[in-house]
Amino acid sequence: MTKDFWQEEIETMPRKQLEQLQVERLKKTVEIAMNSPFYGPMFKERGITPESIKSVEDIRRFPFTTKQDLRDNYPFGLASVPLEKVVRLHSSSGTTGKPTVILHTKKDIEQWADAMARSMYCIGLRSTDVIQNTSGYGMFTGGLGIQYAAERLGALTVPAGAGNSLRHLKFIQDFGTTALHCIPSYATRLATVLNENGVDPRETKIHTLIIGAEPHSEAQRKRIEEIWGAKAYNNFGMSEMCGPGVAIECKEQNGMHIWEDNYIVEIVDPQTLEPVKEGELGELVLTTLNREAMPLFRYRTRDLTRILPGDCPCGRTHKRLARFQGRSDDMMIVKGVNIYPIQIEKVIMEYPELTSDYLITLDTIGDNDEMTLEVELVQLVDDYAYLQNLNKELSRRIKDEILITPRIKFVPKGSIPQSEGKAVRVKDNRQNH
Amino acid sequence: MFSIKRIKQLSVFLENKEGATAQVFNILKDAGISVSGASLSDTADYALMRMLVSDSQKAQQVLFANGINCVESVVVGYKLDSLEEVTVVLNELARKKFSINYMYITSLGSGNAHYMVFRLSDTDKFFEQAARAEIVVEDFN
Repeated sequence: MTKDFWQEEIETMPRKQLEQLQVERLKKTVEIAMNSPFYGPMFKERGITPESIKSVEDIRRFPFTTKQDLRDNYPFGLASVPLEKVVRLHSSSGTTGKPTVILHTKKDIEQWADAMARSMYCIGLRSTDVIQNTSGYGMFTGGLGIQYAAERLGALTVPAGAGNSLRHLKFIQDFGTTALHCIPSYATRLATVLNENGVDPRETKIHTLIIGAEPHSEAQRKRIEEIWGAKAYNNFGMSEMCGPGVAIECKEQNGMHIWEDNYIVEIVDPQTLEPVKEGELGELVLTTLNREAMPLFRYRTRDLTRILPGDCPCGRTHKRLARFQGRSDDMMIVKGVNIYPIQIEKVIMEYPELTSDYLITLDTIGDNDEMTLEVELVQLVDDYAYLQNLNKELSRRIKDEILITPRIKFVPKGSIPQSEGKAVRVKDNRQNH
Repeated sequence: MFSIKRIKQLSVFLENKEGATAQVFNILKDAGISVSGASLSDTADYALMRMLVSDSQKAQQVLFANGINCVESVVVGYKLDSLEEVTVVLNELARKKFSINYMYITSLGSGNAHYMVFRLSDTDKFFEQAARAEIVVEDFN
């Protein structure tokens, strides 16, 4: 019989027992974090001690931690262990402000590799696979995080790194790559490069794509699966929690199991910070339970999601997160309405006439907000009537979704700049914004 | 009898911004392609410029290489010996139940002869009927 789990006991642990494990690990994590110059005094003030923790509910006694806290305490202010025990750091680019740093002990690195290896095993990857990583190797966790995990799994791991699509193509052919790790927009882009070079992505040996780090819709996943003739699994990670390996879809492809032996999961209203009702949309808040260099308590991820109700047929008991609905700080307020780019993306994906790239521009015209949406036509059609109908229909569908009518602009395929990193979707030229 | 040409026409997708049309003509000129007819209409955000060029395939290559999207389609050209013929041709097309998607008049760059250029509801059917009526159809480009 084939084994379906990397760590069956933990992955299928009954909820009660899993929560007991969380309580034990939370106590341990508090004990470690008391040494942190950031959490130490805070815990003292609030009377938070390992002994005072009786149930998972006690997490609500903790204050929230934000990205700003990480910036303010850059670089080592949140360290819970002496620096001599720290073996690695990862850092955000800091292009939009002060950078942040995440520290790892040797044990943290091992736990992280193990969690991501568990995620890979969960989607059917085995030691016989050849896993090619298209993430940058450096401060970004998608490089080394995937590398260590794939090696732990025992797979042949190709550290190809970011960019240079032709080199990726060569490696895929020469090494018989069976699985790719990439962001969704790069999955599409790389497929285009293969096609342009006379290689049908479906004819390669690739049977699995691990996609993540960029919000995408179900339709986008389906398109990726179709062009690659492979399964694409949504993978979630963030450097603050370790990196990739926090949550992943199982073969059911219905929600990402978040590894609750490593994290306490809360979903809160981003405005009131109160827990939302079960199954409702809100901001994901995570507490690390298995990290020692830099544990974080009630970290506000800014990702909007909800917990899917019910049990998963795969047998894993860890909660499932719904596909992310954008970020609480990606939210645009246009004419007083809260809008997330992913709502618009969802509509665009319904149209095979359009590519998956788009650009939203916000302007102030008179005293009003105006939204312009540029979309790319896959193929030019010499027919004004057709183009006008498509324009009207698209703007009506978007209005149904976001309550605002955008001005639609058709542009030729390839004219919206594509980055090999996260795509820029919104340009806000409004005054007072 | 009518003199009819089968013409490969390029429809070039233009964004509505200054210099977009000039850019297309400059690119074609640099590639040594001559333009014998063009029709441009206005819309809010984009325009389709229909063009008759000496080498359609090469024109597509150079335009694509410059990031300009275009598509080739086949249109019908009627030689006009006099302007009265316009009515005759239009009546004939109406009688045969062809509808006109768009039309323009151009000289095709050859002498003083003028051509009415049509995109019809069913261009294939038009050429089939012309063949059956043993009307000679010449390829323009």
